[in-house]
Amino acid sequence: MLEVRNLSIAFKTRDGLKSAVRNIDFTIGPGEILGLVGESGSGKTITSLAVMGLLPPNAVVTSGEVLVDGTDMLQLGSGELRKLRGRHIAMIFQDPIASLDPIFTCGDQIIEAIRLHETVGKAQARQRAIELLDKVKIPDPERAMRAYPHELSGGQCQRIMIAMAVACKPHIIIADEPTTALDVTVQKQVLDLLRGLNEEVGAAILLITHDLGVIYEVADRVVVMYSGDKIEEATTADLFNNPKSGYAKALIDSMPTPGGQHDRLPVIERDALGNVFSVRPEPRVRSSNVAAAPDANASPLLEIRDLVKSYWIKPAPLAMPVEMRAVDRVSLSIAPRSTLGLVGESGCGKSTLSRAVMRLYRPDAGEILFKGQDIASLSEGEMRPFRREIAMVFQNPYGSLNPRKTVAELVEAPLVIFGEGTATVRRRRVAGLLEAVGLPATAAAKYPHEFSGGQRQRIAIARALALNPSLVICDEAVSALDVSVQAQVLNLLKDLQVEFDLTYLFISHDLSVVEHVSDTVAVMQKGRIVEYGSAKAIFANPKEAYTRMLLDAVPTIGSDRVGKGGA
Amino acid sequence: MNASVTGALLLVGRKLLTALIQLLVIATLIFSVMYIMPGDPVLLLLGADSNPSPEAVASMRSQLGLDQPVVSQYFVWLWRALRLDFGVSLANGYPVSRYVLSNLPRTLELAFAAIIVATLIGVPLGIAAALKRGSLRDTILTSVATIGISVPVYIMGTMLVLFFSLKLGWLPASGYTDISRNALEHFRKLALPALALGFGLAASIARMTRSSMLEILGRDFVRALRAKGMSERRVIWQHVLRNAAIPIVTIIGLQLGNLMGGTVLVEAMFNWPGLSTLLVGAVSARNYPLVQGAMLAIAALFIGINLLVELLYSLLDPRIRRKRT
Repeated sequence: MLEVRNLSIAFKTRDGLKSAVRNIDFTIGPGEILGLVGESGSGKTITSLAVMGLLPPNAVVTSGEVLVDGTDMLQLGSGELRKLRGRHIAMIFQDPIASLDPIFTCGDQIIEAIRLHETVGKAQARQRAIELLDKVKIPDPERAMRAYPHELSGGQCQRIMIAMAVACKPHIIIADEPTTALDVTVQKQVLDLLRGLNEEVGAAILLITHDLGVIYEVADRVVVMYSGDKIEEATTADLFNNPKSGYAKALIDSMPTPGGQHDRLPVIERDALGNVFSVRPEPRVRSSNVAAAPDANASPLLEIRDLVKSYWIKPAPLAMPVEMRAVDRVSLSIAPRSTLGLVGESGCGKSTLSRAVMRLYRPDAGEILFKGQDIASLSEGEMRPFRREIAMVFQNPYGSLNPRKTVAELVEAPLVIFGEGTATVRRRRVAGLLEAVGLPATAAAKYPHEFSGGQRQRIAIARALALNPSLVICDEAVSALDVSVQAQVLNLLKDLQVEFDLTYLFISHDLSVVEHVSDTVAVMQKGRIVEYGSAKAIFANPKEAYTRMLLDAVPTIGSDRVGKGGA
Repeated sequence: MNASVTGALLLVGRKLLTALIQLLVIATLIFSVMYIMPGDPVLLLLGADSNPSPEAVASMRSQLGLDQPVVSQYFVWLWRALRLDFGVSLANGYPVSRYVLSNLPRTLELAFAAIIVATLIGVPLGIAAALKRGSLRDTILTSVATIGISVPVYIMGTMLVLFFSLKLGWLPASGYTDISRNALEHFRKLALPALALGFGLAASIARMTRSSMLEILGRDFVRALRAKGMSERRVIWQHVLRNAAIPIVTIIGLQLGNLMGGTVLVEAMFNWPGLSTLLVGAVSARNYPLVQGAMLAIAALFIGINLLVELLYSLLDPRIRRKRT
């Protein structure tokens, strides 16, 4: 049905062609789900764009064929290609809200998709669109038809994208990271939906993802890509039970899995010959201060009591504003040198809570006791000494570092703000911090864009540590990173916790990561803490239905496969 | 009534209210500026050289209401202004409103013609540049636009007159013909002033169209539209351009101040009997009521067009229209 033969793609650069994908082969049969897995930069997306004939202007196919039902897509003119797109091959993208035109209603966009390929009247297309929305299980399809993309949630927008993709009953659906931007519970629903449609419509699905858990649960066969090469192709069961290539094995190993009881995550290493293998690094022992283990009886470093933060929203233009409690009487405490994992779906109030602790705004009610003192209502000036005690690492290492400053300037900035030391002292401190986060000394003079995502997150961590804080808030700090890089950064955070006596408030939507790093865990839903306790207890024996639902939704290797055939 | 209609009405109402408050503030400013300006209008009116008797001055003062306290003068003036009564011209005793009402449509026409000319030139050029980003065509268009922004209105006007009327003889160099008398002649005389006034705006619009198109072309949804099998032409005209229109309309709103300032020069250059001509004449003759009337009319025009631009803006973008629903 879809056959990719010997496909090579290169980017045009000033220094000639730079190879991006080399000699990729794979086939998908009718009704099959093929997973294409790899880290960012491995060439997954560019391969899928080549299949659609949508390569960006700076990329060229240097060799190979893309056969769709026997026709080579690469030989077609733009008109013929257009007829195939949407009708024969449809695509679902990563960011559903951004993939819909913001100024047209969702209904109009589905109708448009139908009428692009079929000569049907508007009313008839509209009827079809409503049926499609019903099929993708959107609540209240009539309302969704009238809604603009920004009025719907990410999960609903992805359903609309899927409705649009299956509108003309395509034979092949390419789904490029279709659930990466969604919450776990929504991810589960969307994956179930895709699988259901796959069975019902009989379309072959090429599922591109970096998430091995998703692959495990959904795909029939898997192609593993690494820096432009196909490393391995196997049925899903074979791949996870018996990976042949070192890279696939390493990739599977470096995923933090629920129930995995290891202090360190294995990371992917490469030897001089370019062979890839997995190593489980030993904890770093750098200084003599062997910190005491977190003591549950010690007075907590941070204690939050009945914290409330509300937003006032108007449900209708003329209505009275109503209170929306983003954080609703939350109480938590974190012991020194321990890690509190805060989990919950998007919009549950995790970030609002962390910003309240940072005192980026004043909470409406409640206390925030930091080392025993209430900082909830301190003025900006009174807050200043506490500012150096609490640091933050943000989610997006691309956005949180000023691109026009060198790494040295970035890491030094907090020291400069607090007028710490002379220039020489500061320089020495920066060098020490860079070494501590595992960056070479030469990094100091470079700019953020010269580093990879993981390295940038290391820079952000070095900056957070500049003033020797006692509390570090990590807001989705590893969510934007690849699995193997994520493992490295998580290991680093653990090392630094011992070395710098750090306490972490670790916010994440990823339950397996939270389980791996946390001593205590708080589960947040709609502004409230629904479950709170030791990580072991919560993951082994969740008491709340909501926690169980979150845990069930995590696609995990080794769980029962819901897909056809099972593992 | 559903929520989105209520929302839209509320938005219009709020914008109208803001516009009225702006007008009131401007009216107050105009009144106070005229009050503290040096020179006594009564002496001017009676002819300062003829040494008028104190009695004559006093009777003129009370006749004009200038012997009343400032505050009451202000409210009387404001009340009259509300009914479009700006008093009489000191030069000949004709009502100011007559001058204002006859000249306002001409300036309005000039401004709108300039905006239309600017849009018709700027948007296609911007699209042409954006679609061939980095090409020679793009470079040339972008440089011309940069020059266009930097050339002052009066130089542009002079060059247009030199070329189109003196060299080619296609269009009249200046003047005004009423549309009821000779429509063709009217528009022939409108062409050059509108072009001179609109050229700078056209350049701004071209640049904004280019960058805004490029920004939209890079968005995810454009790729998704292509993946749906939509033709490139339809992607551009139906989706990209409509999204790109939002910042283009904004730039028109922002450039409105420049445009209204430009009418002063353009009307003078081309002998276009609009509000600015009226204002310039009134200022040099110290014809205070006329100055006040003309200034208020120009301000009202500015606020009015701005209001229109803002409403257009929320019409184009559903996120603004339905922000709170």
